[in-house]
Amino acid sequence: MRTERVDLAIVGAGPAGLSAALEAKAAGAEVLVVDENDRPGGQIFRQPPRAFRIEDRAKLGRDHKRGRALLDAVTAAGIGIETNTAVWNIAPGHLACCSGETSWEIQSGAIVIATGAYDRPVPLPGWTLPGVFTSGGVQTLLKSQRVLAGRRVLLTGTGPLNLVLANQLAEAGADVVAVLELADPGLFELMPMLRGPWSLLSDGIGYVRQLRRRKIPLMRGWTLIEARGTGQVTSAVIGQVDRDWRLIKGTERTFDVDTICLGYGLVPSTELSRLIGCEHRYDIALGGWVPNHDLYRETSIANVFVAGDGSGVAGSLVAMEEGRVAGLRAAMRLGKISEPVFTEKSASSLQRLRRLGRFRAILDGLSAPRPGLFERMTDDTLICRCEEVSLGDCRQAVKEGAVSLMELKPRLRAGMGMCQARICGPTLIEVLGGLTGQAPEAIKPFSQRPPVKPIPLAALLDSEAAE
Amino acid sequence: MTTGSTRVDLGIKRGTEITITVDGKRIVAFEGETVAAVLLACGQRIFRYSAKRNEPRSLYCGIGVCQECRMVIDGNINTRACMTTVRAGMVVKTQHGLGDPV
Repeated sequence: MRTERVDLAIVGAGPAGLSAALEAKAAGAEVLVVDENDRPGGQIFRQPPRAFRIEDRAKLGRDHKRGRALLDAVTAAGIGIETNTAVWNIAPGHLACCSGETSWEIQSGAIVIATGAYDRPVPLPGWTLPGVFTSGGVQTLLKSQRVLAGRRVLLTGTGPLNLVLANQLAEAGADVVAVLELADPGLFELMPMLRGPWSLLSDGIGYVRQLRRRKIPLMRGWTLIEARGTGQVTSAVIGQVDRDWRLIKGTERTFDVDTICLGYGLVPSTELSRLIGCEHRYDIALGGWVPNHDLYRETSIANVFVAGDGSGVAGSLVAMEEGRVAGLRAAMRLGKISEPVFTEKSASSLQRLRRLGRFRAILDGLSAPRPGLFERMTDDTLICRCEEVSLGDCRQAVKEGAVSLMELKPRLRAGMGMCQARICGPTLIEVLGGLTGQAPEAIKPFSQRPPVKPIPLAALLDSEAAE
Repeated sequence: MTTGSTRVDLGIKRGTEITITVDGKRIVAFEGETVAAVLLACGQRIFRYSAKRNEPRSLYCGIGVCQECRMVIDGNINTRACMTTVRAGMVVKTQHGLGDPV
C-alpha cells in the first residue's frame, strides 16, 4: 500500500483547509491536502467541473471570484491536493485514505481537520418527497453544475444562505415564490450589528434589497409546516410562528410549488475529530457537538488542529482566518517557525477573528434552533431517512425504557444506515432530549467507527492485507 | 434556460454532448455533469425507492453526505448520483430497496 510522508496533512480543501495549507507551506512545511470532491474549493468555493468552459466569470457570482483568488494562490504555491479522496480512518499522525478503489495512507507530523459542515436536517411531514432539497444542495447544483433543481421554488428556514440562494435562483430564471425566515428580530436585536464589520452588514442589506427589487416576498416569522404531493412535491403548507418558533394555529396557508429548499443553518462534520478522540462540547449556536480548541486551533490532542465550519459553524470569512492560524500554529509545532514569528504572523488573523466573532454571535443568536423547530414532526415523520425510523418509533422506544442513543440504535436501527447518522444524529439528540427530559448536552452522540465514509470493500480488504 | 431542461448556461459552456441510458431510455448529457444534475435537468426526480416504505427518494443534501440519491450505476448498487460524473454510455437505473436485482 502506498504511503505518503509529509509534515502536515490537511483534511478538506475548502476555505479553512486551503488557507492553512498556504500559511504552513509559506512557513516551510511540506503539506498535503485531501478532499472528497472532484475539485478543491469546498462547498462555498465550488467551481464548475473541468469539462465546462468558463466564458464569463462575472456571471458565476462573488463566491466564485473569491474562491478563484484562493485557488490561484494555492496553485501558485505548488500545494499538493489529492481530490476524489475520502479519509475513512484517523489516528494521531496517520490518515487512511481511499481514492476510487485504492486504499493508501498519509503519515504526518501534524493534522489539520477542516471538514466543513452540511445543512441542518429538520424533519417535517413530506420532507422526504422528491423536490424537497437542502438549500446548500440546490445552491451547489446551480453554482457548479449550472442546473436549476426546479422551476417554482419556495425557500424556508433561517439564516443568510436562503437570502443569497433566492436571488441566485431568480437570476437563473426560476420563479421564487417566497423566502420564509423563522427569525423575526426586533430592531433592538439588530442594533449591535452596526458595530461591524460593516461589509457583512451591507451584504445582508443588499440581499434583502435585491429580493425586494425582484418582488420576492421575504416572510419573517413564517415557516414550512408540511410538503405535500404524490411522487414529488406539488404544494407547501406554511404558517406563522411565535418567538420560540412554535406554530400559531389558524395562520396556515398553501402555496403551489414544485421545489422546496430547506435551509436551517449548518451542522459541523465532526466524524474525524470525534474518531481521533478530541474532546467535544455541545453548543447549539455553533451547530451542535463541536471539538474543543484553544485560540490557536489546537485540540485536546497534540498536533491535531481544527479550523473552519467543522469546528463550529461561522462562515467562510471566519474559516479562512482560522485556517491561517491553524496552519501557522502547526508550522510552529513542527519546528518550522519560532513562537515569536508565529505571534507576529498570526496577529492580524486573530484580530479579524475577534471582530468577525462579535458579528457572528448576534447572527447565531437569531438563527440558532429554538424549541419550536423540532415540533413540525408528526409520529409518522421519518427522522432517520436511511433506516426509515419515525418520531413515533422513537416515542415507543422511549416508552419501553430507552434513554440514550446507544439504546435507540439496536431497537430501531436508527443511525445504522448508509449516512452513518449524519442526518438523523443531530435531530435525535434534540428529540430524545425532549422525550426524556434530558438536556441535549447530556445525550452522548453516536460513537464513530471506521470507515467513517462509505468505501468500496475492495479498498478495505486491500488495506487490511497490507497491515 | 435551455428549452425543455433546467440547465442554466450563464457564464459557461458545457462539455461535449454524450448519451447515457437511464432505466433503458437514452438521455442527453454533457461531460462534466453529475448523474443527479442530468436527471434533475430533465425533470426526472425519483432516483430510488426506499426499502421499508417503498417511498420515492431523490437528491436531498446534494453534497455526498446523506446518501439519499443512491442509484444503480453501471451495475454498482448504492452509488451516489450527486458524486458520480457521467461518462458516455453509462447505464443508470432507479434503485429499488437495497438495490438487489428486481
